[in-house]
Amino acid sequence: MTRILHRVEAAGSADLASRLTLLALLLHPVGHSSIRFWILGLAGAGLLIPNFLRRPALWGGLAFLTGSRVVSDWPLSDNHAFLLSYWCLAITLSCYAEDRDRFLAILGRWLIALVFGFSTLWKLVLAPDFIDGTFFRVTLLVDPRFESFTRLAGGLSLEQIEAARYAIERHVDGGTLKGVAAAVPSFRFERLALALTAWTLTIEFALTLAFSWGRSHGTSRLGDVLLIFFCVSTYSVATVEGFGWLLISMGIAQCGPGRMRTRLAFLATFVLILFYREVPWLAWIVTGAGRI
Amino acid sequence: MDLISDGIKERSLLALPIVLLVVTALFQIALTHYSALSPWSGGGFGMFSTLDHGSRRHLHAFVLRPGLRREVIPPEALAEEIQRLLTHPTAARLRFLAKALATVPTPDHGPAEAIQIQVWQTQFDTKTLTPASQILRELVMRIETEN
Repeated sequence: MTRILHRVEAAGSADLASRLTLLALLLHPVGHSSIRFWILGLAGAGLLIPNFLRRPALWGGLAFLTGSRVVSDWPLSDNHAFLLSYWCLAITLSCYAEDRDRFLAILGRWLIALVFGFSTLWKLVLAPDFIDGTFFRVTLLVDPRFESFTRLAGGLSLEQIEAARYAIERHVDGGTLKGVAAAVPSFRFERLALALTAWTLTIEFALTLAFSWGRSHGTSRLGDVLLIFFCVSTYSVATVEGFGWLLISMGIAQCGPGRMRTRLAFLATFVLILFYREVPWLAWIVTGAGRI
Repeated sequence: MDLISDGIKERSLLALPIVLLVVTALFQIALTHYSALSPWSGGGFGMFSTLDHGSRRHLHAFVLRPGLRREVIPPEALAEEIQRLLTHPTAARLRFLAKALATVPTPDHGPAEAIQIQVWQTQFDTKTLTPASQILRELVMRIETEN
Protein backbone atom coordinates (compact mmCIF):
# COMPACT_ATOMS: atom_id res chain seq x y z
CA MET A 1 0.00 0.00 0.00
CA THR A 2 2.81 2.40 0.91
CA ARG A 3 4.51 1.62 -2.37
CA ILE A 4 1.35 2.41 -4.30
CA LEU A 5 0.90 5.70 -2.47
CA HIS A 6 4.51 6.58 -3.12
CA ARG A 7 4.10 5.87 -6.81
CA VAL A 8 0.96 8.02 -6.94
CA GLU A 9 2.80 10.83 -5.22
CA ALA A 10 5.89 10.60 -7.43
CA ALA A 11 4.10 10.16 -10.77
CA GLY A 12 4.18 13.00 -13.21
CA SER A 13 0.81 14.75 -13.37
CA ALA A 14 0.70 14.44 -17.17
CA ASP A 15 1.26 10.68 -16.98
CA LEU A 16 -1.40 10.31 -14.31
CA ALA A 17 -3.89 12.36 -16.32
CA SER A 18 -3.07 10.39 -19.47
CA ARG A 19 -3.65 7.06 -17.74
CA LEU A 20 -6.98 8.22 -16.34
CA THR A 21 -8.05 9.42 -19.77
CA LEU A 22 -7.24 6.05 -21.33
CA LEU A 23 -9.01 4.24 -18.50
CA ALA A 24 -12.06 6.43 -19.02
CA LEU A 25 -12.06 5.55 -22.73
CA LEU A 26 -12.07 1.85 -21.87
CA LEU A 27 -14.78 2.19 -19.23
CA HIS A 28 -16.94 4.46 -21.35
CA PRO A 29 -16.38 3.47 -25.00
CA VAL A 30 -17.33 6.12 -27.52
CA GLY A 31 -18.09 6.29 -31.22
CA HIS A 32 -19.67 4.06 -33.86
CA SER A 33 -18.25 0.58 -34.29
CA SER A 34 -15.67 1.51 -36.93
CA ILE A 35 -14.20 4.28 -34.78
CA ARG A 36 -14.80 2.58 -31.42
CA PHE A 37 -12.60 -0.40 -32.24
CA TRP A 38 -9.60 1.82 -32.95
CA ILE A 39 -10.19 4.06 -29.92
CA LEU A 40 -10.39 1.04 -27.63
CA GLY A 41 -7.33 -0.48 -29.23
CA LEU A 42 -5.25 2.67 -28.78
CA ALA A 43 -6.48 3.17 -25.21
CA GLY A 44 -5.58 -0.40 -24.30
CA ALA A 45 -2.19 -0.13 -25.96
CA GLY A 46 -1.44 3.08 -24.13
CA LEU A 47 -2.11 1.46 -20.78
CA LEU A 48 -0.48 -1.90 -21.41
CA ILE A 49 2.60 -1.18 -23.55
CA PRO A 50 5.26 0.43 -21.34
CA ASN A 51 6.51 3.32 -23.46
CA PHE A 52 3.36 3.94 -25.42
CA LEU A 53 1.78 6.31 -22.96
CA ARG A 54 3.87 9.31 -24.04
CA ARG A 55 3.88 8.63 -27.76
CA PRO A 56 2.53 11.51 -29.87
CA ALA A 57 1.27 8.96 -32.40
CA LEU A 58 -1.01 7.36 -29.78
CA TRP A 59 -2.54 10.64 -28.72
CA GLY A 60 -2.58 12.06 -32.21
CA GLY A 61 -4.51 9.00 -33.29
CA LEU A 62 -6.99 9.45 -30.45
CA ALA A 63 -7.35 13.16 -31.18
CA PHE A 64 -8.00 12.36 -34.84
CA LEU A 65 -10.54 9.62 -34.09
CA THR A 66 -12.43 11.58 -31.44
CA GLY A 67 -12.37 14.70 -33.60
CA SER A 68 -13.61 12.89 -36.69
CA ARG A 69 -16.36 11.38 -34.56
CA VAL A 70 -17.56 14.90 -33.71
CA VAL A 71 -17.52 15.89 -37.37
CA SER A 72 -19.23 12.75 -38.68
CA ASP A 73 -21.90 12.82 -35.96
CA TRP A 74 -22.68 16.52 -36.44
CA PRO A 75 -24.94 17.90 -35.05
CA LEU A 76 -25.66 15.05 -32.64
CA SER A 77 -22.41 15.05 -30.64
CA ASP A 78 -22.76 16.14 -27.04
CA ASN A 79 -20.39 18.20 -24.87
CA HIS A 80 -18.41 15.14 -23.85
CA ALA A 81 -17.48 14.34 -27.44
CA PHE A 82 -16.14 17.83 -28.05
CA LEU A 83 -14.25 18.07 -24.76
CA LEU A 84 -12.74 14.63 -25.26
CA SER A 85 -11.34 15.61 -28.64
CA TYR A 86 -9.91 18.88 -27.24
CA TRP A 87 -8.30 16.98 -24.35
CA CYS A 88 -6.78 14.31 -26.60
CA LEU A 89 -5.37 17.14 -28.73
CA ALA A 90 -4.00 18.79 -25.60
CA ILE A 91 -2.23 15.59 -24.54
CA THR A 92 -0.88 15.13 -28.07
CA LEU A 93 0.62 18.63 -28.02
CA SER A 94 2.04 18.08 -24.53
CA CYS A 95 4.18 15.27 -25.95
CA TYR A 96 6.18 17.94 -27.80
CA ALA A 97 6.58 20.27 -24.82
CA GLU A 98 9.80 20.64 -22.92
CA ASP A 99 7.97 20.48 -19.58
CA ARG A 100 5.07 18.16 -20.29
CA ASP A 101 3.58 18.35 -16.80
CA ARG A 102 3.50 22.16 -16.82
CA PHE A 103 2.12 22.29 -20.35
CA LEU A 104 -0.77 19.94 -19.62
CA ALA A 105 -1.44 21.60 -16.26
CA ILE A 106 -2.01 24.92 -18.00
CA LEU A 107 -4.31 23.38 -20.59
CA GLY A 108 -6.22 21.34 -18.02
CA ARG A 109 -6.85 24.43 -15.96
CA TRP A 110 -8.02 26.57 -18.88
CA LEU A 111 -10.19 23.90 -20.42
CA ILE A 112 -11.96 23.44 -17.07
CA ALA A 113 -12.38 27.21 -16.69
CA LEU A 114 -13.82 27.57 -20.20
CA VAL A 115 -16.16 24.57 -19.92
CA PHE A 116 -17.71 25.95 -16.76
CA GLY A 117 -17.57 29.49 -18.09
CA PHE A 118 -19.68 28.66 -21.13
CA SER A 119 -21.93 26.42 -19.06
CA THR A 120 -22.55 29.30 -16.66
CA LEU A 121 -23.19 31.65 -19.56
CA TRP A 122 -25.88 29.35 -20.89
CA LYS A 123 -27.55 28.87 -17.53
CA LEU A 124 -27.40 32.47 -16.42
CA VAL A 125 -27.98 34.36 -19.65
CA LEU A 126 -28.82 32.36 -22.73
CA ALA A 127 -31.38 29.84 -21.45
CA PRO A 128 -34.33 31.60 -19.78
CA ASP A 129 -35.88 28.31 -18.67
CA PHE A 130 -32.96 27.52 -16.37
CA ILE A 131 -32.80 30.50 -14.07
CA ASP A 132 -36.54 30.54 -13.41
CA GLY A 133 -36.35 26.94 -12.20
CA THR A 134 -38.41 25.45 -15.04
CA PHE A 135 -35.52 23.28 -16.23
CA PHE A 136 -35.14 21.35 -12.97
CA ARG A 137 -38.87 21.27 -12.27
CA VAL A 138 -39.48 19.49 -15.57
CA THR A 139 -36.28 17.42 -15.69
CA LEU A 140 -36.69 16.00 -12.19
CA LEU A 141 -40.14 14.77 -13.15
CA VAL A 142 -39.68 13.46 -16.68
CA ASP A 143 -36.07 12.20 -16.80
CA PRO A 144 -36.05 8.60 -15.48
CA ARG A 145 -32.40 8.97 -14.38
CA PHE A 146 -33.55 11.37 -11.68
CA GLU A 147 -36.50 9.34 -10.47
CA SER A 148 -34.89 7.90 -7.33
CA PHE A 149 -33.42 11.26 -6.40
CA THR A 150 -36.77 13.00 -6.92
CA ARG A 151 -38.50 10.45 -4.70
CA LEU A 152 -35.88 10.70 -1.97
CA ALA A 153 -35.12 14.44 -1.92
CA GLY A 154 -38.40 15.69 -3.34
CA GLY A 155 -40.53 13.45 -1.16
CA LEU A 156 -42.70 12.36 -4.08
CA SER A 157 -44.30 8.98 -4.53
CA LEU A 158 -44.06 7.03 -7.76
CA GLU A 159 -47.72 7.81 -8.45
CA GLN A 160 -47.13 11.54 -8.05
CA ILE A 161 -44.18 11.42 -10.45
CA GLU A 162 -46.14 9.45 -13.02
CA ALA A 163 -49.11 11.82 -12.80
CA ALA A 164 -46.82 14.82 -13.19
CA ARG A 165 -45.00 13.19 -16.08
CA TYR A 166 -48.29 12.53 -17.85
CA ALA A 167 -49.39 16.15 -17.35
CA ILE A 168 -46.09 17.54 -18.63
CA GLU A 169 -45.79 15.24 -21.63
CA ARG A 170 -49.26 15.92 -23.05
CA HIS A 171 -49.09 16.79 -26.69
CA VAL A 172 -51.28 19.30 -28.55
CA ASP A 173 -49.78 21.13 -31.49
CA GLY A 174 -51.13 24.61 -32.03
CA GLY A 175 -53.75 24.22 -29.34
CA THR A 176 -53.96 25.22 -25.69
CA LEU A 177 -53.91 22.82 -22.80
CA LYS A 178 -55.30 23.48 -19.34
CA GLY A 179 -52.97 23.48 -16.38
CA VAL A 180 -53.09 20.35 -14.26
CA ALA A 181 -52.36 20.39 -10.54
CA ALA A 182 -50.40 17.15 -10.79
CA ALA A 183 -47.66 18.96 -12.75
CA VAL A 184 -46.81 20.95 -9.61
CA PRO A 185 -46.74 18.12 -7.08
CA SER A 186 -45.63 19.73 -3.81
CA PHE A 187 -44.06 22.76 -2.15
CA ARG A 188 -41.09 20.65 -1.07
CA PHE A 189 -40.47 19.59 -4.68
CA GLU A 190 -40.66 23.19 -5.88
CA ARG A 191 -38.12 24.25 -3.26
CA LEU A 192 -35.85 21.37 -4.28
CA ALA A 193 -35.91 22.46 -7.92
CA LEU A 194 -35.10 26.06 -7.00
CA ALA A 195 -32.33 24.95 -4.62
CA LEU A 196 -30.74 22.82 -7.34
CA THR A 197 -30.95 25.75 -9.74
CA ALA A 198 -29.20 28.08 -7.31
CA TRP A 199 -26.63 25.45 -6.32
CA THR A 200 -25.71 24.58 -9.92
CA LEU A 201 -25.30 28.23 -10.88
CA THR A 202 -23.22 28.98 -7.82
CA ILE A 203 -20.81 26.08 -8.08
CA GLU A 204 -20.30 26.38 -11.83
CA PHE A 205 -19.62 30.10 -11.55
CA ALA A 206 -17.25 29.47 -8.64
CA LEU A 207 -15.40 26.84 -10.69
CA THR A 208 -15.07 29.28 -13.57
CA LEU A 209 -13.52 31.87 -11.30
CA ALA A 210 -11.29 29.47 -9.37
CA PHE A 211 -9.75 27.95 -12.48
CA SER A 212 -9.39 31.15 -14.48
CA TRP A 213 -7.92 33.18 -11.62
CA GLY A 214 -4.16 33.23 -11.08
CA ARG A 215 -2.27 30.16 -9.94
CA SER A 216 -1.81 31.26 -6.34
CA HIS A 217 -1.82 28.58 -3.69
CA GLY A 218 -5.26 29.53 -2.39
CA THR A 219 -7.20 29.59 -5.65
CA SER A 220 -5.53 26.41 -6.85
CA ARG A 221 -6.60 24.48 -3.74
CA LEU A 222 -10.08 26.00 -3.82
CA GLY A 223 -10.51 25.00 -7.47
CA ASP A 224 -9.52 21.41 -6.72
CA VAL A 225 -11.90 21.18 -3.76
CA LEU A 226 -14.75 22.68 -5.78
CA LEU A 227 -14.14 20.38 -8.73
CA ILE A 228 -14.06 17.29 -6.57
CA PHE A 229 -17.18 18.41 -4.75
CA PHE A 230 -18.91 19.14 -8.06
CA CYS A 231 -18.11 15.66 -9.37
CA VAL A 232 -19.09 13.89 -6.14
CA SER A 233 -22.44 15.68 -5.95
CA THR A 234 -23.42 16.00 -9.61
CA TYR A 235 -22.57 12.51 -10.81
CA SER A 236 -24.30 10.88 -7.86
CA VAL A 237 -27.51 11.92 -9.59
CA ALA A 238 -26.74 12.69 -13.23
CA THR A 239 -25.03 9.58 -14.56
CA VAL A 240 -22.92 11.24 -17.22
CA GLU A 241 -19.80 9.45 -16.09
CA GLY A 242 -17.69 10.04 -19.23
CA PHE A 243 -17.79 13.77 -18.71
CA GLY A 244 -17.05 13.44 -15.01
CA TRP A 245 -14.00 11.27 -15.67
CA LEU A 246 -12.74 13.74 -18.21
CA LEU A 247 -13.01 16.59 -15.68
CA ILE A 248 -11.07 14.51 -13.15
CA SER A 249 -8.33 13.77 -15.69
CA MET A 250 -8.01 17.51 -16.34
CA GLY A 251 -8.13 18.26 -12.64
CA ILE A 252 -5.35 15.83 -11.80
CA ALA A 253 -3.25 17.18 -14.69
CA GLN A 254 -2.91 20.48 -12.86
CA CYS A 255 -2.14 18.81 -9.55
CA GLY A 256 1.62 18.59 -9.25
CA PRO A 257 3.74 16.05 -7.31
CA GLY A 258 3.76 16.58 -3.57
CA ARG A 259 -0.01 17.17 -3.52
CA MET A 260 -0.63 13.65 -2.48
CA ARG A 261 -3.94 14.10 -0.72
CA THR A 262 -5.49 16.05 -3.59
CA ARG A 263 -4.34 13.44 -6.08
CA LEU A 264 -5.82 10.68 -3.95
CA ALA A 265 -9.06 12.65 -3.68
CA PHE A 266 -9.25 12.92 -7.48
CA LEU A 267 -8.52 9.20 -7.86
CA ALA A 268 -11.10 8.32 -5.23
CA THR A 269 -13.66 10.48 -7.03
CA PHE A 270 -12.89 8.64 -10.26
CA VAL A 271 -13.67 5.36 -8.51
CA LEU A 272 -16.72 6.86 -6.84
CA ILE A 273 -18.21 7.81 -10.21
CA LEU A 274 -17.73 4.21 -11.32
CA PHE A 275 -19.58 3.13 -8.19
CA TYR A 276 -22.41 5.57 -8.98
CA ARG A 277 -22.72 4.07 -12.45
CA GLU A 278 -22.61 0.43 -11.48
CA VAL A 279 -24.47 0.34 -8.17
CA PRO A 280 -28.11 1.51 -7.95
CA TRP A 281 -27.46 2.89 -4.49
CA LEU A 282 -30.12 5.62 -4.68
CA ALA A 283 -32.77 3.09 -5.61
CA TRP A 284 -31.62 0.93 -2.69
CA ILE A 285 -31.98 3.86 -0.29
CA VAL A 286 -35.46 4.64 -1.62
CA THR A 287 -36.44 1.00 -1.28
CA GLY A 288 -34.94 0.76 2.16
CA ALA A 289 -36.81 3.85 3.27
CA GLY A 290 -39.98 1.98 2.32
CA ARG A 291 -41.12 4.54 -0.20
CA ILE A 292 -42.02 2.00 -2.86
CA MET B 1 16.38 33.99 -30.32
CA ASP B 2 15.95 30.25 -29.91
CA LEU B 3 14.45 30.81 -26.46
CA ILE B 4 12.03 33.39 -27.81
CA SER B 5 10.99 31.26 -30.75
CA ASP B 6 10.64 28.25 -28.43
CA GLY B 7 8.47 30.40 -26.17
CA ILE B 8 6.30 31.51 -29.09
CA LYS B 9 6.03 27.94 -30.30
CA GLU B 10 4.95 26.73 -26.88
CA ARG B 11 2.39 29.49 -26.55
CA SER B 12 1.01 28.66 -29.97
CA LEU B 13 0.65 25.01 -29.06
CA LEU B 14 -0.98 25.95 -25.75
CA ALA B 15 -3.43 28.23 -27.51
CA LEU B 16 -4.60 25.69 -30.06
CA PRO B 17 -7.06 23.60 -27.97
CA ILE B 18 -8.22 26.70 -26.12
CA VAL B 19 -8.92 28.64 -29.30
CA LEU B 20 -10.65 25.61 -30.79
CA LEU B 21 -12.96 25.36 -27.79
CA VAL B 22 -13.76 29.07 -27.69
CA VAL B 23 -14.36 29.42 -31.43
CA THR B 24 -16.55 26.30 -31.53
CA ALA B 25 -18.56 27.40 -28.51
CA LEU B 26 -19.14 30.89 -29.92
CA PHE B 27 -20.09 29.39 -33.28
CA GLN B 28 -22.56 27.12 -31.49
CA ILE B 29 -24.15 30.06 -29.69
CA ALA B 30 -24.57 31.82 -33.03
CA LEU B 31 -26.12 28.72 -34.60
CA THR B 32 -28.60 28.31 -31.76
CA HIS B 33 -29.79 31.86 -32.31
CA TYR B 34 -29.80 32.01 -36.09
CA SER B 35 -30.54 28.49 -37.24
CA ALA B 36 -32.31 26.82 -34.31
CA LEU B 37 -29.51 24.42 -33.37
CA SER B 38 -30.42 22.75 -30.09
CA PRO B 39 -28.36 24.23 -27.24
CA TRP B 40 -27.59 20.67 -26.10
CA SER B 41 -25.47 20.09 -29.19
CA GLY B 42 -22.67 21.77 -31.08
CA GLY B 43 -19.98 22.06 -28.42
CA GLY B 44 -21.23 25.16 -26.65
CA PHE B 45 -21.70 23.46 -23.27
CA GLY B 46 -25.38 24.28 -23.12
CA MET B 47 -26.39 20.79 -21.99
CA PHE B 48 -28.47 20.69 -18.82
CA SER B 49 -29.24 24.39 -19.15
CA THR B 50 -32.46 24.29 -21.15
CA LEU B 51 -35.32 21.98 -22.00
CA ASP B 52 -34.88 22.62 -25.72
CA HIS B 53 -33.05 19.50 -26.86
CA GLY B 54 -33.55 17.44 -29.99
CA SER B 55 -35.56 14.71 -28.30
CA ARG B 56 -38.04 17.29 -26.99
CA ARG B 57 -38.72 18.53 -30.50
CA HIS B 58 -40.92 16.60 -32.90
CA LEU B 59 -41.94 16.73 -36.50
CA HIS B 60 -45.02 16.24 -38.63
CA ALA B 61 -44.81 15.50 -42.34
CA PHE B 62 -47.66 15.75 -44.83
CA VAL B 63 -48.18 14.85 -48.45
CA LEU B 64 -50.29 17.48 -50.21
CA ARG B 65 -52.64 16.74 -53.06
CA PRO B 66 -55.40 18.99 -54.44
CA GLY B 67 -57.92 19.24 -51.61
CA LEU B 68 -56.11 16.71 -49.43
CA ARG B 69 -53.37 16.79 -46.79
CA ARG B 70 -52.29 13.40 -45.46
CA GLU B 71 -49.82 12.94 -42.65
CA VAL B 72 -47.11 10.38 -43.36
CA ILE B 73 -45.04 8.41 -40.87
CA PRO B 74 -41.39 8.53 -41.90
CA PRO B 75 -39.84 5.08 -42.34
CA GLU B 76 -37.44 3.77 -39.69
CA ALA B 77 -34.55 4.07 -42.16
CA LEU B 78 -34.81 7.85 -41.86
CA ALA B 79 -34.67 7.84 -38.04
CA GLU B 80 -31.10 9.12 -37.77
CA GLU B 81 -31.65 11.78 -40.42
CA ILE B 82 -34.75 12.94 -38.56
CA GLN B 83 -32.79 13.12 -35.31
CA ARG B 84 -30.22 15.34 -37.04
CA LEU B 85 -33.03 17.46 -38.46
CA LEU B 86 -34.69 17.92 -35.09
CA THR B 87 -31.37 18.89 -33.52
CA HIS B 88 -30.53 21.35 -36.29
CA PRO B 89 -33.42 22.04 -38.69
CA THR B 90 -31.57 23.61 -41.59
CA ALA B 91 -33.15 24.25 -44.97
CA ALA B 92 -30.91 21.63 -46.57
CA ARG B 93 -31.98 18.93 -44.09
CA LEU B 94 -35.64 19.83 -44.53
CA ARG B 95 -35.32 19.55 -48.31
CA PHE B 96 -33.46 16.24 -48.04
CA LEU B 97 -36.19 14.79 -45.85
CA ALA B 98 -38.92 16.15 -48.09
CA LYS B 99 -37.35 14.46 -51.13
CA ALA B 100 -37.09 11.18 -49.20
CA LEU B 101 -40.71 11.39 -48.04
CA ALA B 102 -41.97 12.14 -51.57
CA THR B 103 -41.42 8.47 -52.36
CA VAL B 104 -43.40 7.14 -49.38
CA PRO B 105 -46.58 5.52 -50.72
CA THR B 106 -49.97 6.76 -49.53
CA PRO B 107 -53.45 5.33 -50.18
CA ASP B 108 -54.47 8.40 -52.18
CA HIS B 109 -54.73 8.57 -55.97
CA GLY B 110 -52.98 10.98 -58.24
CA PRO B 111 -49.56 12.60 -58.05
CA ALA B 112 -48.59 14.47 -54.91
CA GLU B 113 -48.23 18.24 -55.31
CA ALA B 114 -45.98 19.01 -52.39
CA ILE B 115 -44.44 17.78 -49.14
CA GLN B 116 -44.94 19.83 -46.00
CA ILE B 117 -42.64 19.33 -43.00
CA GLN B 118 -43.08 21.05 -39.65
CA VAL B 119 -40.55 20.96 -36.82
CA TRP B 120 -42.21 21.71 -33.48
CA GLN B 121 -40.68 22.86 -30.24
CA THR B 122 -42.24 22.44 -26.80
CA GLN B 123 -42.10 25.07 -24.09
CA PHE B 124 -43.49 25.01 -20.59
CA ASP B 125 -45.51 27.54 -18.65
CA THR B 126 -43.38 28.89 -15.81
CA LYS B 127 -46.07 28.51 -13.17
CA THR B 128 -48.08 25.45 -14.18
CA LEU B 129 -45.53 23.57 -16.40
CA THR B 130 -48.32 23.23 -18.99
CA PRO B 131 -46.71 22.31 -22.30
CA ALA B 132 -47.29 24.41 -25.39
CA SER B 133 -45.89 23.64 -28.83
CA GLN B 134 -44.90 26.06 -31.53
CA ILE B 135 -43.52 25.63 -35.02
CA LEU B 136 -39.78 26.13 -35.08
CA ARG B 137 -39.19 25.55 -38.80
CA GLU B 138 -41.49 24.70 -41.69
CA LEU B 139 -40.97 23.75 -45.30
CA VAL B 140 -43.42 23.23 -48.13
CA MET B 141 -41.58 21.75 -51.09
CA ARG B 142 -43.30 21.37 -54.43
CA ILE B 143 -42.80 18.03 -56.08
CA GLU B 144 -41.85 18.27 -59.73
CA THR B 145 -43.40 15.53 -61.81
CA GLU B 146 -41.92 14.24 -65.06
CA ASN B 147 -43.99 14.95 -68.19
